[in-house]
Amino acid sequence: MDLFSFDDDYVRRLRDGDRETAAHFYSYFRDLLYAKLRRRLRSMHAIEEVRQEVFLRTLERLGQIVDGRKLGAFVNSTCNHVLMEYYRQESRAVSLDEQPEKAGTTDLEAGYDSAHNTARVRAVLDAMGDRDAAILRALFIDDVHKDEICERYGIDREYLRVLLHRAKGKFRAAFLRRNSGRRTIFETFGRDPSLPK
Amino acid sequence: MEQAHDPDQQIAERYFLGELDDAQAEAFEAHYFECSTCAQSVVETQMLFDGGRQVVHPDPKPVPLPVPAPTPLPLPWTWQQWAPLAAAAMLAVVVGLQIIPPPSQQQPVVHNPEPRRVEFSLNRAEVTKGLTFASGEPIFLLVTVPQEASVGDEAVIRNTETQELIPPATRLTLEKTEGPFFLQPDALPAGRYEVVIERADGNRRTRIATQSFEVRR
Repeated sequence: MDLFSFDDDYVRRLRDGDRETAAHFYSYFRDLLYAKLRRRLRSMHAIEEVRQEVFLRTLERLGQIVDGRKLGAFVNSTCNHVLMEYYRQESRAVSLDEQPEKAGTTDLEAGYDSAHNTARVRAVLDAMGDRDAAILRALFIDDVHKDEICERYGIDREYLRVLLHRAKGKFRAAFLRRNSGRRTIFETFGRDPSLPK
Repeated sequence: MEQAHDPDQQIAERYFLGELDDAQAEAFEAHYFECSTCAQSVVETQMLFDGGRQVVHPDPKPVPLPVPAPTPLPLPWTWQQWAPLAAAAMLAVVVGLQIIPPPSQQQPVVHNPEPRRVEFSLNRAEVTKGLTFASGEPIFLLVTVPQEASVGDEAVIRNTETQELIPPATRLTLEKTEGPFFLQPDALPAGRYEVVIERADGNRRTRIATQSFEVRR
């Protein structure tokens, strides 16, 4: 596994407005923020609102970063602060009996170019046994509780977890095959502009 | 969060399956924002889930799902109640689908590797709207329990022409009325079918709600 690490030079280039660095920064943290925010926010609109605020605030406060290696921790911390403010704002704006509408799955995926993802997941499901593929399909439905899936198929949570782990392995392999070579962290997140061309 | 690097711990999987408590999830988040190895694992798992949701929600404009209760969804059916359904479905596949007409009448199977996900909204009307599947298309139904239903009511899938239950003689007893449940009757031969919620009163059965669907050649 190729590792990517941030450093002072990366933060300096980001602060100087280097476009490639900014693109890499956005590409790297976009999905991580999405994964974190999806656990907490119900609509894609809210996720996008908070995510943009995190990017904006991080870029505004780059000068506060003492150690460039801690850029990831700084982004996460900024995200926590923005989330807290968002919750406070929401609790003032929305009464308890007016819960925000849950975003449909399509909404949540709207910001993503998922055609290739979908094709790869189909390939993964095709490569699994019928029963395991059916379990995974059930797992991908947000409204079906994991315990229900386990009970339905007579499996335990560990089996579910291992199955997901295996599926992810196949998904990664499909990723590699499609790209006809070893896929690195840079290819996943965007090329690190600090590397020589 | 050293255990995050241990593949046996499968932390990213636990994170996405909701198996980490809030403190553990926050600790893992703090870790993967700093660790590119775990960041990649999170991104891959996220991509797998996003792609998977597209697979099971192929309609670009699906019917909005009911807003779930804040607590985890209840389990309308017990494993024991599903066992006959699963066994019957597997048996039907193994013995060559006895419910399918003889080869001379059998319709060509349309290869569709992904089941359509359809949300049923049952009500008192006999037929509220038609839903159509292709013959051979795996059928995946998400059933919303109607308000009129009670614990103890039964759900069946029936061929409206032959009145045969699908799978044969399978009835599912409703244990709870909150939350949806799903039915996977697998591919069905061409014909008209209905999902029925019935209430048994001695030998008499009252139809509480129905939803029809059609499988076309």
